[in-house]
Amino acid sequence: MSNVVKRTVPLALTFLIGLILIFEWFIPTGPGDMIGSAIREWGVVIGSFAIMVGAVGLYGRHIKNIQKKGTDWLFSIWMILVVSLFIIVGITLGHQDTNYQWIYTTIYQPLSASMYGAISFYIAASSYKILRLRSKEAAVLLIPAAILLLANTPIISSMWGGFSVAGGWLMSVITEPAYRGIMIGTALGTLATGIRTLLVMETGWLGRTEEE
Amino acid sequence: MSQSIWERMENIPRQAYYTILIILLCYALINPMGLPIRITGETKELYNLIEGLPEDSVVLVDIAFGPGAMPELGPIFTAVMVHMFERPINVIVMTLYVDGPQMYNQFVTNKLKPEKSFNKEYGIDYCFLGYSAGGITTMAELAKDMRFLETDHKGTPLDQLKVMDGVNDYKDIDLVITFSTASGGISSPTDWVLQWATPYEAPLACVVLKMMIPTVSPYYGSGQVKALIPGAGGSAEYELLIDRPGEGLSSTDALSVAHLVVLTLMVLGNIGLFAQRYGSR
Repeated sequence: MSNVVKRTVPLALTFLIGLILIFEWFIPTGPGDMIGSAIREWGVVIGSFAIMVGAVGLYGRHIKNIQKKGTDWLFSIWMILVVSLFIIVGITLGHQDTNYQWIYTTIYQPLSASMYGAISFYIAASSYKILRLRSKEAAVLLIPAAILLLANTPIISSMWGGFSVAGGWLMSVITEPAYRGIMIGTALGTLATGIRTLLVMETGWLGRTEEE
Repeated sequence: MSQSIWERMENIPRQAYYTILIILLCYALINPMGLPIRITGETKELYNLIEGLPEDSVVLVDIAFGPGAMPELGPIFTAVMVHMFERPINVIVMTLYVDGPQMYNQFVTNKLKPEKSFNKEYGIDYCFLGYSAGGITTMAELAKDMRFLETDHKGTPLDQLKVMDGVNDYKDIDLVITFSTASGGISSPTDWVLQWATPYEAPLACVVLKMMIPTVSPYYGSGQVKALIPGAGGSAEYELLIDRPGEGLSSTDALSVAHLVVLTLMVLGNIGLFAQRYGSR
């Protein structure tokens, strides 16, 4: 594939589409709105198609793993079986069908919920191991953690509202400004990356080209 | 050499406290004890937002959670939907999350049964737009054109749904509520802030996992998010507000018990540490 198709066309399209969407936002006009809407709709269609591309990639990767008898290849067989079962039942019967819902609620749902539930055990273990008053620095971590834990324990906060007040203060005066700072930093970084991408200074998203 | 009691307190084997935790959690979930809880101002804010909506208002509900977060967000989703179905308001449910349709089936179609329980009719009082790919792009387009999805999850054209009459863009939506665990770009609270709340000043309420609160609270503090409540704890409070005790209240006992276990472990660990430190001196 020529470098023009692999590099120049995508970069030109990115620049053009980015420019149209920026103009549509800052200088709203009827035709601009129409073009912006059309571009967003294309984005949604491409997003839908990407799911299929993802599925094909997933199959390809695991079929290769089975052929090579690579790491955990038995799990690859299992994955292909389960994904195929979901796809076949979903396409033929629809997602509202009781059979599809049965597979979802009896296989996927308990597994997914268990994974999330297991976090509580890790949190208990890490709180016990880490939150020790070994130094002044550790106190900075321990005291707010203890206050927030007390504030978020329903039975304790219902008995004395003081912990909720202290927890609320910590959240609004300490956590919020700190997180806001991170968000502003991230936003500035995103803005810079966006400008660099539009000005063809950022080409990492194209992947490795032949010339490189 | 045998360990002293203080060393033991500092080094409780994790198998021991995992076992204690699981036994207490199971007990609390199977036998709800009805431990007291306090209704917080944050929960009241969402309740008041819905309660204050005039007749025939339109609420856009975004499902952005799956089975992993279902134990935390499921009860509050149920409670908030019950509150809305009890009021004369129209509800449009949508999802940009792949698990969204299953969550809708499970909670709205199978559990709440709006036709039977609330005398609400699909297409007239509420509808479900189904799953749509595209994440934040879809969200941005919906703000400008609510009908660009064209059909609901059953394939019925939106023009044929009475609930969609006069709903064309963000101006026709009186409140957006997102139940979210999603990360940025899919359907996160931040995406709603960026695409709806900030450019159009659309009233937005976020119901999130408790651990997500710090990531959304800056928007709440600045007023871009009108109500922000966590699933854990918030569900029980909401159930009390609407006077419909359910899973949220029973799981709150488990939450209290789990937190008390963690607090006890923290105290024991620190007592062990101090006793050894001062003992060695």
